[in-house]
Amino acid sequence: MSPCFVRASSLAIGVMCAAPVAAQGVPNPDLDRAHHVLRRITFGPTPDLVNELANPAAPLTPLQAVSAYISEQLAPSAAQDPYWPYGGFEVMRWCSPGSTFGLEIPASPAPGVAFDQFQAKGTQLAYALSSKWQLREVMAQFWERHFNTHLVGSKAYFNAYPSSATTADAHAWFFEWEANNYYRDNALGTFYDLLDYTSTHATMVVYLHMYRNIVQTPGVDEPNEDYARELLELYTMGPEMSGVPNYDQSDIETVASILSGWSIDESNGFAFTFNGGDHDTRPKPTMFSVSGAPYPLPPGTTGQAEGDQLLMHLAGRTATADFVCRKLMDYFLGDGAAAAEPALLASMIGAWGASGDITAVLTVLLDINGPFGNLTGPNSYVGVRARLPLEAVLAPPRAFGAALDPDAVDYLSLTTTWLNLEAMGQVLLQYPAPIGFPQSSAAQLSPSAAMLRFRNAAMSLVSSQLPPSMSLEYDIGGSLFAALQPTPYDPVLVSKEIIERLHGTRYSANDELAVRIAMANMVSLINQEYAVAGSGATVNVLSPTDEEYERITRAGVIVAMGMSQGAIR
Amino acid sequence: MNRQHNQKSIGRRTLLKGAMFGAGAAAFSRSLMAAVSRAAATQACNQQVLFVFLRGGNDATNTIVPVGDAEYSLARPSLALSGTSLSPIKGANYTKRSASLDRLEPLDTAGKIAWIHRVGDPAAKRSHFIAMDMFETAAEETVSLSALAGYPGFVNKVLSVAGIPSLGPGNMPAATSIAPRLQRMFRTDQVSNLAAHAHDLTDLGLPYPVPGAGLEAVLDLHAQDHIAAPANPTDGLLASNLAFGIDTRAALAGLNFTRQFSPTNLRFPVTAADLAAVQANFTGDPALIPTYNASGGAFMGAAEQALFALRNAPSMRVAGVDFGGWDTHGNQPQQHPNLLRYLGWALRDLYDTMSSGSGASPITIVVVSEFGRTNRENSGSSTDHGVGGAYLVVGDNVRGGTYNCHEGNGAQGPREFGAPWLPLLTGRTLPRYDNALDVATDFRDVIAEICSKLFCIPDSDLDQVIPGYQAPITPWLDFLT
Repeated sequence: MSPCFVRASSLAIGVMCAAPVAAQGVPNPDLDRAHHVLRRITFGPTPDLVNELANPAAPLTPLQAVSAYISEQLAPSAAQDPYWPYGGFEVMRWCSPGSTFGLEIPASPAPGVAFDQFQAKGTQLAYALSSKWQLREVMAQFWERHFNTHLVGSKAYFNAYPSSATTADAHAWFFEWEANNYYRDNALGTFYDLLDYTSTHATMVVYLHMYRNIVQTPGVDEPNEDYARELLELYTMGPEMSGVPNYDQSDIETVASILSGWSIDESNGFAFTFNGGDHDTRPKPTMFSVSGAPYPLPPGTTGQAEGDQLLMHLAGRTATADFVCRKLMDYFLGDGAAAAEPALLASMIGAWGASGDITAVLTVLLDINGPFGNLTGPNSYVGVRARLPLEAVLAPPRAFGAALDPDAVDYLSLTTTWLNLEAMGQVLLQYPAPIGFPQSSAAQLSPSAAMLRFRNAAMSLVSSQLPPSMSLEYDIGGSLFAALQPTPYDPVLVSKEIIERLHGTRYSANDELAVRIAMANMVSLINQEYAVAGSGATVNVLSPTDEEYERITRAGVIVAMGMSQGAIR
Repeated sequence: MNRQHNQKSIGRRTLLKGAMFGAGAAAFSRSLMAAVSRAAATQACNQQVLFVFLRGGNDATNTIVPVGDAEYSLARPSLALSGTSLSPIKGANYTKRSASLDRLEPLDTAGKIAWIHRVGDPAAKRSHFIAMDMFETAAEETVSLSALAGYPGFVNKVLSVAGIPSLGPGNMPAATSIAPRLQRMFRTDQVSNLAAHAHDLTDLGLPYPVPGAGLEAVLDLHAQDHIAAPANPTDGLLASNLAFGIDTRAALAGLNFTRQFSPTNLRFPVTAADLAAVQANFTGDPALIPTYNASGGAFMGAAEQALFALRNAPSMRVAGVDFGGWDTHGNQPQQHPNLLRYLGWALRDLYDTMSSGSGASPITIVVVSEFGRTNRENSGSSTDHGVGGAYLVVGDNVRGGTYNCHEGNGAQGPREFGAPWLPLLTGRTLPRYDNALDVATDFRDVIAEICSKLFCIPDSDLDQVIPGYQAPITPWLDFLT
């Protein structure tokens, strides 16, 4: 069976040729473990990836193949990815270099074109769904959550500059888009670069009121503490390490004084500027004494250099390495993993270096052959991560090989995806609190969230069930039908095929039974419809018609999809 | 669409099975035993609570305003309210309320509001996320952050200790969070004891995916499999959520929620168009009408839905809603009064609606926030994170008046209770309260009083809700009658 199904659609989404899925029900623990690794470091295995791992003719075992895949992913190359940097994306066609206004937003956007959430959100979805460099995409989203901003909620700031050539909305979405691209480009670089970028970029300067941190009369003007607090609590050290506080209130006040005067220049495309007249010029006391590792600014440091020195110090501080590495462990492995594996944590911290070498840290974390056997050894953390909504909406289409055409991306075609995402509680680029969208599994699970994932699966799958306002994007049921149709209908084989495609691994016998029940129920429903119509026909379960086969298959897919969407990876 | 007719008691059945075989067995057994032993008490103790969480840290000082403190205007040269921006609180000499809350005047006059000042966590972390987690889990002050991360929310513990089953008649959930995501206070890691969650009650009736797919049956099978023999806690919790979700969403959908708002009653204006209708038809002071923002509109809608659920499902004992946007580091002069107008409008509508029946309403509204804000304004004429905050409690079970904000020299008004006020600039003696309100009432004592008086939990069991709770940490305020 070598299906090649391309859905005729105006939505510029096709389903790529899907090579046959191997491992047809034959237990293969190594292959299961390799699938597990793929589920953690990508937005979901694709048929191509799965078949690379499972090809019995390949020189590498599944685990060797996934190890090589990790190494490749840690060194992304622009040359091999039509989606990077921004190739073929509509947004770059009109945000071209040399355009006016410094922001690369045209002073007079083309009629009907406005930089809005379709571009800002669609870009992320397109990359995550289709990019070859999946680990980079996963990390881009990690940093998007880590350095969360909600500029759209602060867009009133831009209304204060009526000379601006475009709207407050367009500014807000543009800067969010720009920051997200930086996280993508530097996802595997250094933590310092990311920290330095966010602390001087319009998204953060506006969102956390750095531009309002003005001390013109030292000792009288109270610095604005908004960014200073979150810089220490959320972006660098975190509140404590090994139960010892990393800072106290006086440190937050000192950091706020150090960063007073950091702002953006509305007359220069809202680029970073340091306003010396707004800076607290008083000497700064030694910081972080409460942690047992005090830090004084280098002697003679003044002005903007105070903040520059502080950021460099924070990026290399052990507490920052500890905080970020814990977050990475809990994300890639599962809630509580950092607490459970202190040796791995220590090894990652050892790889951090002076600036936070993200590739080095991930190399330790994802070393499936190393001393910790992460993801594949005894502590493999299989099945303990609940997918984030973004992962939940992208994994199913990837499981069936859906991909975007990089030369004809239509962001409107992704609208349903991010609306479904929003229904599940994840609103891209608009999480209001600086802590960012929660990554813990515990925060994902609720009765309503579970049911919404089932509903979302249905909306993605069955056009006849879509509300009038929704459009069908991924005809996954159709692609599976096309893939299976040459095979005689066999509920056992079909249910296995469905589950393996969606989960990449075996599931419980009851789950396979559940899929078969769903398909059997659909057979009954069709027979009831025949009876109501008085046609006298019944479904021949050994040889259903094409239409019957498709409806039966879709019913099974939806149940399995719901399981896949709801859980667990 | 009413789907209740075709729902079986899947959730209850699977939850029972899961509880017997899974990790939640011990907790479930305790819950069951408590239910049996308290049967008589719970029948008489049928109160309901609506928690309103003001996310971001409400500026308590400009909500319940210490006009008697001469340092107030010194600390806040731009932000201090005065003149017509202030309104009296009945029976209070030392404080006034922001005039943005003037729609609450009839409730205040009738003694239906407890204005509780300087309540919070003495740990004084001043972090949104730690402070919210501390409240929502009722954690002990000394808890480590790593332990705090694993704590369940306190609502399910209250229900469990009080012997209230997760599902009431018609599979109605005993607790419901109406919010974009399940509020932490309702979260649990126990499969035997779950709260329902709905983003929007009007969104519950959407059809299930495939007619004939037999979702109830297959989910039941799936859930039984994974609850009874969970591969891991996440798996079991997800499965129970699925099963529980079918029951509870169907039960909530069966309430057939309809909005109240009309151009004549003007209750719960959610959209900008609603507020335009209010502008056209409101005969009171137009300054009390909020200016539309998305956060306020979402809160207004959630509040109406939560109250609707409580009133139409007496077995539902707790509901929760969020109201975001209170982190007023910048632009506070414009932002904060509007937020208070939204809050005042909603609380008035909530009270008028819940008291429209005969007799006293069993519903008590508890408005909380994770902390207050700094005493001195910052360079942006706004405020940063503080410590002590303000809670408002509204209902027929409330002892109306102000708490922790009287002069303390014998000139105490007839409705001024609790601890005396400490001046904003010179009254703070502990470093952790620098430039912030101190904590005169520990939030745990507020939760304890609610547990005791609204859920009939005896003092000896309060530590099952509030870890380590033995005796009042600060004196109980007796804001509930």
